[in-house]
This record gives sequence, C-alpha cells and structure tokens, in this order.
Amino acid sequence: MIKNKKAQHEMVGFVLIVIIVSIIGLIFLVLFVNKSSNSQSDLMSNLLQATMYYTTDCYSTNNEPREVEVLITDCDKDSNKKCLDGRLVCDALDANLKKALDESLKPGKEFKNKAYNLSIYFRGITNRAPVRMISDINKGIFTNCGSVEGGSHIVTLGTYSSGVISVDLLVCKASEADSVKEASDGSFNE
Amino acid sequence: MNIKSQLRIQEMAFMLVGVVLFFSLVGLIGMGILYSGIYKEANRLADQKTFGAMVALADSPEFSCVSSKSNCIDGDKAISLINKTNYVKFWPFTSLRIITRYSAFNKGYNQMIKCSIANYPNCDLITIYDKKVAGEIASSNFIAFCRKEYQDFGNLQGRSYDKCEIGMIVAGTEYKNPKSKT
Repeated sequence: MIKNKKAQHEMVGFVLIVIIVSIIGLIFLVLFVNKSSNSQSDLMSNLLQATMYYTTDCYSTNNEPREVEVLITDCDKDSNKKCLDGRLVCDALDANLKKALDESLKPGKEFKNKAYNLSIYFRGITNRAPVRMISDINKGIFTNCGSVEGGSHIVTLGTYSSGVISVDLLVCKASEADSVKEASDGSFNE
Repeated sequence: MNIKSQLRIQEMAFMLVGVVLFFSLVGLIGMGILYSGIYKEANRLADQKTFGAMVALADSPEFSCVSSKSNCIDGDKAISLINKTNYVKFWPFTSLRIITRYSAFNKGYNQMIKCSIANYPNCDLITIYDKKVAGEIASSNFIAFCRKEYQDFGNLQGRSYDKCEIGMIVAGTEYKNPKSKT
C-alpha cells in the first residue's frame, strides 16, 4: 500500500516537472517570436544616400546650387561659411535636411514612423566615436518604439584626411499594437 | 514477484505513452505558433526579392544617372520609357512607377500629377508600366531622381546643372492569397 502510494507520488512529481518545463519553454518561444529588434535597414540607408545628392536652395559664390553632401563638408570645414543669400551653410543644411526627412518619413505619434534622429559627425577611420558634431536633428518623441530602424552613410574626405564624416539615421517605428494611420492610402488604384 | 514486475512495466508503459502524447501536444502548439504566418512569410519573401531587384534597377543602364551616382535614376531617361511596351516583360514586376519628388510622397494617387512628355518635369508620378494585376503588393525604395536643369543668367547666357530630388521607385509583385487557387 505504502509502496503504491510512493509510486503514485513519484509519477505525479514527474508529470509536474514535465508540465513546468513545457510552460517555461512555451513562454521563451512566445518571447523569442515577439522580440522587438533594432535593425540596420537598407531602406533607411538608401534614403540617406538619396538625401546626399539632393539639390538644396543654398547657392555657392558662382551661383551654383549645392548638394547636401557638399553642404556637409563645407559646414565641417568652416562653420561660418555662408550661402549666396547670406544664410550660414550649416543652417541651410539643417533646414534642407529637416524638410526632406519630414516629408520622406512623415514622423508623428499617430503614424508608422513615430520619430527620427539624424546625426552627422566627423570621426576617425577605424574609431566610430564622434570627434566633432556637425549636425543633430530630432523630430518626434523617441520612446515606446515597436522597433528601431537605422541607416548610415559615409562621406569620405579625401586620401589625406584623418577621418570620415558619418551620417546616421535612426527611426522609431510604431509597434503593431499602436493604432496608426497611413500618411497616404498608399495604393495606385484609379 | 512476477505480478509486481508486470505492474511496474505497465506503470512505465502508461507513463511513457502519457509523456509522448504530452510532448506531441506541446510540439504541435509550438509548430502552430512558429508557422502560423506561412502565407505572410511567403509574401514577405516575395517583397524582399522585389526590393533587391528594385535596388539593382536604379543602377541599370535604362535608369542610371550619367554622373555615376549610385542609387540614382535619370529622370530624362525615365520619361522616355513611358508607353514603351517592350519593357513590360523585361522586368519581373507587375507594375513600375517613379515618384519624382518628396512633396508627392504623402499624396494619394488621384492627387498626384501624372507625368507625360508635355508636363515633365513639373509632375509627380511617372508610370513606366502597369499590368493591372488584381492583388498586388507594392514595394518601394528611396532613390535620387536627377535631371538636367537650365539656369538662365539672361543676355543669352546660362548653364545646365544636375538638379536632384529625393524620389521613390515603386514596384509591384503579385500577392499570394491563401484563398486563391493559384
């Protein structure tokens, strides 16, 4: 009788252990599937690359409009340099970048892209730590992100330069649980 | 003794059957969670394949910029491809469009100014082709949309320069619907 009870106790104990291990395993599985991630995004890198070629409204002294990439290197070389209309090159750079990214990403707490942060800085070739900040643009509130997508672009400064200019873009995406509306309906149906 | 050992064997057998059934149920639930979005995954892979093809498209001879800029589409080349039916079977997309400037990104289709030879470059959307497939996923990628612009200084003097905007290339692929027979 006692031996039977012992065996029954053992069986119940074994079954309990199996159930507990299975529940823990299922919890890990669910967490693993739903993990939010920071990822390098080709789309954001392509956006940065396209932005570098954007023709701004800042004209050089020979009346030629400058591209964003040229404004970045000019702003880094001399922060007091001016456009033909008298604005500082760095201010023109910030204004043009802000406008381009606001229209391209359409950040807002009710949209898919909640916020973005753009950092432009000079750094060493191998060391990624910023040596000199050129521009830092933020839009929106960078909290409670479902995921963070990033992109980066390098502006080289010539063979004899001790470093490069790094342009980093981080975008805070809304989570699937957030109710978001599309900036446009996204369809091409007539 | 025989009865005792037989009982033990029976106990072990029942326990093993119970454990196997239990783990089978757990495995089935796990597989159900992992593979619940198989059509969604198939569409995501098709989307990824389209994205890769689109990135390569901007650097193809039909669209690439003369000044060797990467990820750049030459608007003057793109506008000449409108209404050319030769390319409908050349690219693996159901539709191919280019949005020429960022101010049009958030416009609806009906609000965009459709490009033609007459109104280029003061327009928003170049439609290279559209096979009008029912059930299409559109993938998009940012590109630099560049064209030659003339700067007039007066007195018959002027120069041309590269004017570039942030644009978007939009390509369609057919949507795999679990309810469709194909």
